[in-house]
Amino acid sequence: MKSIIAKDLTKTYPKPKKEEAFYAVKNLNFDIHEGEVVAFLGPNGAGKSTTIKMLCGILTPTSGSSEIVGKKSGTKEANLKLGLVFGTRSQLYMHMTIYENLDLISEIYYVTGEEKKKRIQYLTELFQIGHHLKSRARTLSLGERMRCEIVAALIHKPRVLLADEPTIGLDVVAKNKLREVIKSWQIEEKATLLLTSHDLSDVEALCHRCILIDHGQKQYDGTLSGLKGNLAGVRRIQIITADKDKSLMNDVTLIKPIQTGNEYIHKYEMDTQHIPMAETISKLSRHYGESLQDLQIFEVSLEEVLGARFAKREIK
Amino acid sequence: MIFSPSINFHLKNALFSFKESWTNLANSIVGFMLFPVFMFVLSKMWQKFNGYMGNYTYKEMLAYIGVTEILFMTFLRTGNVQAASSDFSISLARPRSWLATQYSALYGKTLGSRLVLTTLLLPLLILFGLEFHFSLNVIFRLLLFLIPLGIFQALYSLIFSCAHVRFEVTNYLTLPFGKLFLIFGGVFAPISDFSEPARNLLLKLPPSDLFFQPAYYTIKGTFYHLTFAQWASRLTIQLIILLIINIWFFKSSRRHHQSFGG
Amino acid sequence: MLSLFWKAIKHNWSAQASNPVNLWSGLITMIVNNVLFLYGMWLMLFAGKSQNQLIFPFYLTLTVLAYIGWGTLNFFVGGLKELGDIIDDGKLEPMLGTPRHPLFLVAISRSSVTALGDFLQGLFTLGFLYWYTGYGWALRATFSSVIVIIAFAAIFIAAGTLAFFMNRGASLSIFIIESTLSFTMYPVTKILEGNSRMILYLIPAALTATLPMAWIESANWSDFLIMISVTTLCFILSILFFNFGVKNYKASNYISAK
Repeated sequence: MKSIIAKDLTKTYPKPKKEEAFYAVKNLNFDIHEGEVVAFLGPNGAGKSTTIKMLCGILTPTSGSSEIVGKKSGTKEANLKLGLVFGTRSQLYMHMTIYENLDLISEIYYVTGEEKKKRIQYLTELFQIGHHLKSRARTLSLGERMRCEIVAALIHKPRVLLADEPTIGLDVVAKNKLREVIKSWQIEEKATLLLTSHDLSDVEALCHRCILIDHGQKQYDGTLSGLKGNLAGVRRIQIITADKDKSLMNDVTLIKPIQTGNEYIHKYEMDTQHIPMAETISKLSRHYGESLQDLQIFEVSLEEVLGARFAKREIK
Repeated sequence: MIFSPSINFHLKNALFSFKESWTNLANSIVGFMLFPVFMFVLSKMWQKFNGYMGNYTYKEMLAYIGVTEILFMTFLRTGNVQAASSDFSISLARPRSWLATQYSALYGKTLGSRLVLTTLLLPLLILFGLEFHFSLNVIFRLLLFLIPLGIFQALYSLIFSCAHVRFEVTNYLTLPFGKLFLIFGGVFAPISDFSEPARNLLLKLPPSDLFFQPAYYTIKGTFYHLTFAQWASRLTIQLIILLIINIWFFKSSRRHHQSFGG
Repeated sequence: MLSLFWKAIKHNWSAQASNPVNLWSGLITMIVNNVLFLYGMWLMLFAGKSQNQLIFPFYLTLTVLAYIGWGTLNFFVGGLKELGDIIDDGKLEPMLGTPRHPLFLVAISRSSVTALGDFLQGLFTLGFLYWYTGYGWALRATFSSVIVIIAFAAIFIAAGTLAFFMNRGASLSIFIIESTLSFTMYPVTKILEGNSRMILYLIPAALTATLPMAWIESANWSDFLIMISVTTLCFILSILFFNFGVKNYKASNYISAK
């Protein structure tokens, strides 16, 4: 069962004094299956938010169409299946308490009576916001408020959650907490999550698949490891040596040394597709002998992959 | 410049806010759309209710209402009051006084928007059939008042900006206060046309010095039962009181300020 | 829908009541403000001026219409007055993604503490009107107050919707709304004569003052039907205008729509 379908989704904005329209999103096609957690990535101005807004019916596509759980985006039926979280725009009523907010928002989504009570209780426990129920929304910290925002978005048990930058502005602790609770909710309710975030640690923590867009067009759709492409096998090795006069190992073809500027720290880059890790470590051990104090291995981060990808992009 | 760096900064700040009012003249004109309707309706209202007294001609009244409306439309605007208090938290960490910075901004803004409206008033008076010479006189006299009156509007607004920092909701304070000035300042009709003992009482109150007396001057060339020296000294007393209230309120607001979120 | 409406009122008011200082000072200052305004207008127009006394009941009735209409609307659906700001701030967007009509959600999103002061003032003046003018006039004023609520709602919606189409539409909206309130409270129908009466139909106060007052004074069916039909039509048109604004917003987006 497909939860989200985007079919030739296109959005153009007229450009004043220019004949050509500006394509915010151009012929975007993708399907997301029920229960999938997908990251929607791209640099600023790539068309992520425009796509999200088209999926939830805030914007009407210039051409193409989209569906949420088989219902046309923007219709009442689709909106009933949809939960929305905007990190930069609150949907809570700031002057009300969190309980009053949840009560009112349930009513907006036609959740009433016992069902509502149970749902509020369940989400309150899951997202650990019980002690905030009597607090006014405006008095909460950003991290606490964001958890309440997500509870408000999930109150009607949506089959799809569209989360646009939900961790923006949060500190590490609040961010980790939020990821954790989103993950448990998603596993529990087997709902679909489409997440946009500039913080790739969010993506790595929550998603298995990602859709990458740039200039409104799809650049990649697949697994996170697949996104790294040739860089997936690349590892960086950091050696700490006790001997400051120790020279770098000279095997530039397969194990490439990197200058660090610190005589005690040596770094190398190698590709496991060309040379097995065991062989590399054995070579390094032989070279450093007893002066080897510590050895650390790093993967190429997603941030680095995307950074390299978008650094060369043409800004339109 | 001959001024100290601090005064220089506040002058620039005022000038910046002043220019802001002129950057989108089209918007000001849109906001001005109902202004002629107000002038027309209020002067007709005066004619119907007080015209028989013969203290003013209908044309004088049109000019009077035009002037008081300009002064009132730019008095205690909620948007300006709230905008001034919006960067309170961050300003506490800046090397400039929030009070002085907001004061200069409010003053520049008031002066700018009043000048825009005054410029638009001249063609309007002529369109209403007032003689060019009289209209020009009204405008020139009004221009003379804009600089001192701006000082008071900025000080009154700043009290409410402080209140906005101190209390969360202040609209209910601003609104009635504005109404007091509207009614007792003679914005709708000159205080001189009120019957006794109200007339005598209202002439003694601060709103009359800020609305009625200047507007009366613009059409008659003199103050109503007041010399310039008396008017100036009354304003000076008002100024001192406003300054004291502002400083006290700012200190109190700062003490009680809470910045939510994080 | 009713249940949601009731909940919104309950929670909005519990929020207001959670800050009793704000609530009571808001209420009291608004009543003081209204009394001062009424008293000031009375001083200006009627005190010691015997020839103006005939217009006094007319002025009182306008006060009733304005205060009850304005007060009720802002008391129950205070968000409508803020529609322009809500569009401008982008707070409308999450409302577009729900299964409810966004205008309804805007309407119930807030409630004005001071509006209760207006409403109480209107009721008090209405009571006085029953004593001062007799039952026929006062009953018509009571019914017209209900119509004026719809008229104000139409004006709030139409004025707020301007924010979809122009820069600073929100400020213009507030300006139009406040001007309408002011014009409603002036006895304009008594002031203007001849061709200048046409202006009454060009400003929104025609809906909130001119038409109801025409019926209250004449007590005839034609004026009654005109008041009802014009107000209903304007209310429907304002909703259509809002829907058109939303459609326009969805088709372009906020930035390019402006």
